[in-house]
Amino acid sequence: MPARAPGCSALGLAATPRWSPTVERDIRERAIFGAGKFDPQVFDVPALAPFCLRLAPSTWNALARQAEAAWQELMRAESELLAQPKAWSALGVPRRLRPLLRGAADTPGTPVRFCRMDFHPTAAGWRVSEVNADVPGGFLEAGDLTRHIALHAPEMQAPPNPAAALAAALAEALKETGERGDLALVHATSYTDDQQVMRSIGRELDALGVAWAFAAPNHVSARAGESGCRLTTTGRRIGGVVRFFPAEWLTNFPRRSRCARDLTFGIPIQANPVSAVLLQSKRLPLVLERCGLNAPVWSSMLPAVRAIGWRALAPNLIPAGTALKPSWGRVGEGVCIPGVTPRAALRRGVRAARRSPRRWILQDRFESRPVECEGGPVHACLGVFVIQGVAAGVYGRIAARPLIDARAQDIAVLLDPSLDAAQPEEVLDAA
Amino acid sequence: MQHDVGISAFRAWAPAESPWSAWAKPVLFTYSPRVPADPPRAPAFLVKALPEPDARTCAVIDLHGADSVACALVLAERGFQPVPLFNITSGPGRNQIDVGPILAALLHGVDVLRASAVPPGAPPAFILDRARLDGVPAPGSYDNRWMVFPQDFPSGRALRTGGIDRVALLRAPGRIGHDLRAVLRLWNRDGLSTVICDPESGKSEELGFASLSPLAALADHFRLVFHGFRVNSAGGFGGSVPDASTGSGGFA
Repeated sequence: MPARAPGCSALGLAATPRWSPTVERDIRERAIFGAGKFDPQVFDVPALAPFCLRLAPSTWNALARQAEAAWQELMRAESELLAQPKAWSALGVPRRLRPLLRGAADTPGTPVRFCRMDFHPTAAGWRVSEVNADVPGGFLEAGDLTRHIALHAPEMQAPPNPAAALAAALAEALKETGERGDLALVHATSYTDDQQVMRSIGRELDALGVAWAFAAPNHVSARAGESGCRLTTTGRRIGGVVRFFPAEWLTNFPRRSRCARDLTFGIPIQANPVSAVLLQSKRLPLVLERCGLNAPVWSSMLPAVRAIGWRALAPNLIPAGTALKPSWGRVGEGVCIPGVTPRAALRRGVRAARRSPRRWILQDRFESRPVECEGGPVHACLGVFVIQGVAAGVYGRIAARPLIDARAQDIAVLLDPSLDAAQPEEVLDAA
Repeated sequence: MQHDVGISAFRAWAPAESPWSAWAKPVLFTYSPRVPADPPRAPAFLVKALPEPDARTCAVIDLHGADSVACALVLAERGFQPVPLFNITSGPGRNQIDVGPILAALLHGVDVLRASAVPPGAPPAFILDRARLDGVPAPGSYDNRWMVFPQDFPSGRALRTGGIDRVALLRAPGRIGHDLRAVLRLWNRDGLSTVICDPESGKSEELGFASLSPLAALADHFRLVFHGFRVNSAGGFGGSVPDASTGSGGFA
């Protein structure tokens, strides 16, 4: 694979040429059988883009330092917000989740934290659209898959592997706490695309000799007269949990079920603890401001957010230059951008926001700067993983339109030193 | 070695030459497959009444697990390209759906497929398991039931571009799953008609979508809610079975 692509983009980001059909076939097979990617096709489009993004190492370092600094601020904010139940309502935390948050404040356990901050190249430099602090995906794509693809590009390096970093953090937590139980990798077990994320973490745990098992939340059970919890499927004690099951979904279980409580309070090591949901709400910037909590790095990266309030009655709900977003949306779900979102979906979103304005926010739009590639310009999003406070990998996605949602393609991001050598000033400016 | 068996079997079921192979679901082939000693046999009825190959018609086989695979192999001999869509997980303990028989049928089918020499332009025959949403997960069992979503199939537009405007749905009499119906309805909007064929009796009938009254739609909705919150509280689907027409329910 040649290292240099035509038309080097600014901001330290560019695309490689498209792979040959032979390389594309090989990578698809490696993605499935090597990395365990079970969803290689979505609708009529391959899930994996047939080329890579090249990222200047200096840009990666700058994004990594920014993400780490922002994460420190967010952790402080989460700690403050956990002690302020009135703020939970302002964040839109579902009522049935609040008892779990109260319990989490009393029994903190040993948290192992991971998140993903989504960076976009824009006309004003790099901007973040959101932090996925509760259950970020992309471990497989940023981990094993990127390493398989890097074999075809020896002149470039893969960024750190987030699955390996998370597994190492979990092994360290087990060692520190002296826990001998298995790790439960909790997810909605009916979805292969969720299990593939857990599998990628499981492979790294295998390499470290840590015992683990797939589990649904209701497989976690506390037994009378026994401390801690066991898995009902294996009967083995659970030392820690990796939760790839959104915190707000825990409210879907019947009221009589104890599994949400057992999962949250009965297991010593929590990755992520349920308190992560406080950072997941898109209303977070509004609440930080109201509570007088400072997060200058985070605020400088994130476009301004406004509550809808009385604007719900205005004829034009979405002012020019803004986007409408649901407070708990994931993977671009429900994001309404006039001129980008299909009209029917836009109408649905606006109607829902007028009905429940507290479940939606308005956010200033940024002007996404497309990356030139052989098939035409594409808009990119680089999800930077931060694990235990350290930047630990990057999950790339691209789309033809300036909206990264479930239809976006996954793309490997590789570090290309030649970009730093070619345009040092521009790369440094971008950082 | 087992890994190689999976790759080799997947290559046979999803040959690079077929444009429809892109939609084949690989997950089952990655589960350290072992070829079982006893080959599964196709039930006798499967060879009685199946559609003849027709470049304008694709097939969707919605029979029980291994029967679906056996039926697909018969269709392959008649010139269809089978496309396995088993998007099923497997986990510790007792699984709600046993993947063993399906996997065995797929592995034993490899030789049949190779002998069939399906032409590269053959119309697709999508293979499903009719029992994918069956049963109530018992406490402690692993809920690996699954469902199909529109994004698991080619769009109606892609099928029409491939010269296909008819769908033969092979299944025994009974209600069509809400997930599959959502897919067929979308195809219908794109101009594809669906004929339901009962492979056992040979009877066929046109599937109508206009006949779905608002009352029937409401009944469907309540059935889904009932199914979601009563039968399926285990968390396999995140607490409820999602609406197949609106999203995957997963969030990776």
